[in-house]
Amino acid sequence: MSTSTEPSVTCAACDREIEGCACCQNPECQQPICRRDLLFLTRESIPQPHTHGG
Amino acid sequence: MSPRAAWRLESLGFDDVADYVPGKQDWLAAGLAVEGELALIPNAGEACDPDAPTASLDEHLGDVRERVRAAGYDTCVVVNEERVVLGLLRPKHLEGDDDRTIEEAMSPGPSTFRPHVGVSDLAELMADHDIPSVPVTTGDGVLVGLLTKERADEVARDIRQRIQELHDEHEH
Repeated sequence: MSTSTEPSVTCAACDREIEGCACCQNPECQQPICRRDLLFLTRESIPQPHTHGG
Repeated sequence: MSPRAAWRLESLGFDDVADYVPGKQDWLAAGLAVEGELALIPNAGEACDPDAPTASLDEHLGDVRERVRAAGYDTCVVVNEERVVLGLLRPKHLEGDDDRTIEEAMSPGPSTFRPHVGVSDLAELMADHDIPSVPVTTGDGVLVGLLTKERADEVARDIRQRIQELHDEHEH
């Protein structure tokens, strides 16, 4: 089992733990964002209302 | 949807029908021609500078620094012979020893954005994350150009002004 001593970073949009900000890659970014939410913000991807066809 | 649309068009009598298999997003990301109201709004691919300074991995910092400054920039995109983006040299990276190679000095794997991304969206992102410029690339990572925050803000202002003018025309 490995333990990390580095502080965790969470996406400001979805609260998931991420390695770092996908937008600026600045470890001290005040509004880190994950790749998925970045694609939503730039409209390169569209959030799906549900995970399966309906 | 696209294959079914293609078959349907053929059944309606169209004889020059093509189905772009990679899909709409790939077409947009490649900066290919589009139509419609949104196509009139400048995007990142149109606003970026295709002649922004670039460097290759085996060059040395001293030479590249001079070239970048002569071009009026403080940032340089590192590309390979296919113009695929490999890294970025921000001002702090350009400050190293003249003999340092670009491969050693650069920040590898920078975040990039597709040509079809809206300039207003990028201007806001760049302000929120304090980013002075971003590389714009195709889906294959080929550099289209560098978009500075100044340029993004300028184009975003023009867009807002144009939208306001259209709104005012509708009102009267």
